[in-house]
Amino acid sequence: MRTVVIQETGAVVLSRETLEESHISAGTELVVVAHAGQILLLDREQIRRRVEEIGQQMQEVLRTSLAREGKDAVFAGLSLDEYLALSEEEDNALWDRLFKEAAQELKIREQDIPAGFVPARQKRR
Amino acid sequence: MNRIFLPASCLLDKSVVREALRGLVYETLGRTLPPRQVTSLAVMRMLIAYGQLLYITPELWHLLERPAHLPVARPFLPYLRKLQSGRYLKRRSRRLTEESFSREDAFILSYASFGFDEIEETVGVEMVLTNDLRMQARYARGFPRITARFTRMTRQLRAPYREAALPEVVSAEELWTQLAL
Repeated sequence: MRTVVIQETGAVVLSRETLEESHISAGTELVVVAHAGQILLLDREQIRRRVEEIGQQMQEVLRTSLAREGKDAVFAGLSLDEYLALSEEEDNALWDRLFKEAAQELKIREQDIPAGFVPARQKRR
Repeated sequence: MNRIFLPASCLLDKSVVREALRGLVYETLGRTLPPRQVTSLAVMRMLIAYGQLLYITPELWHLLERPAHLPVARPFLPYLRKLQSGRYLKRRSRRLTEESFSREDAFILSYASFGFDEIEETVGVEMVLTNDLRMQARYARGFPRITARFTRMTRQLRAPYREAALPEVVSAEELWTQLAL
């Protein structure tokens, strides 16, 4: 772990070792994520690639899922064609009904939260 | 450099999950996605890529994990976490229905303050992500009154409920504007 001091101008100079360890080189475009007490610098291109990977993984799982379970009943008993043919209003109404059913089946049972738990915004990873 | 606003924890409402699921089916089949589905799917992926926590309510989780819904829901489940129901969730929800929120919206907003994550040991979330612009507008309009009632309620409670916080309510479109690379 190293420390740096922010200059009057707001500039931060990162050491060569830091850049080597992060595999981030001079000229790389970074995304700055700032929260109270925290600044993260992320390689914009790596984030883009990660988004693409996640997209491909999701598509692959869906393809496998549809291939394994068939296209006759993909959602709420609807075939793939029927599901895709739903209008915005029909899809909305279907989900309203399904959600209501799920909420009725699943009775809310409140639990005590241990005293040491903190609000999510206080605990950043 | 690009500076972005990034919530570390986000509760997805039903509308965002619905649009994202349908969007993935369209995308995988090579069809053109309607705009809201593009946005919901893209925002979810972006938040996952940044390593942020995406939560849904137990009711929505129960809906997605039903065998009849799994073929379409399966690609998303590994990326989602289920919030648990903390004490005072129902009381909070009743207060919000008095503010003219629907029962469903009141519960979403209550989970955002009194839901908890056993793994992270946290209470609530920073942001509710929605496509329901009416709910978002109602929350924004009533925010001073909602805050006042929330403060009156929580200051009488013991820890950790006393530290519970109100979430920001943001539309998928707004967050996408912030996150788009």
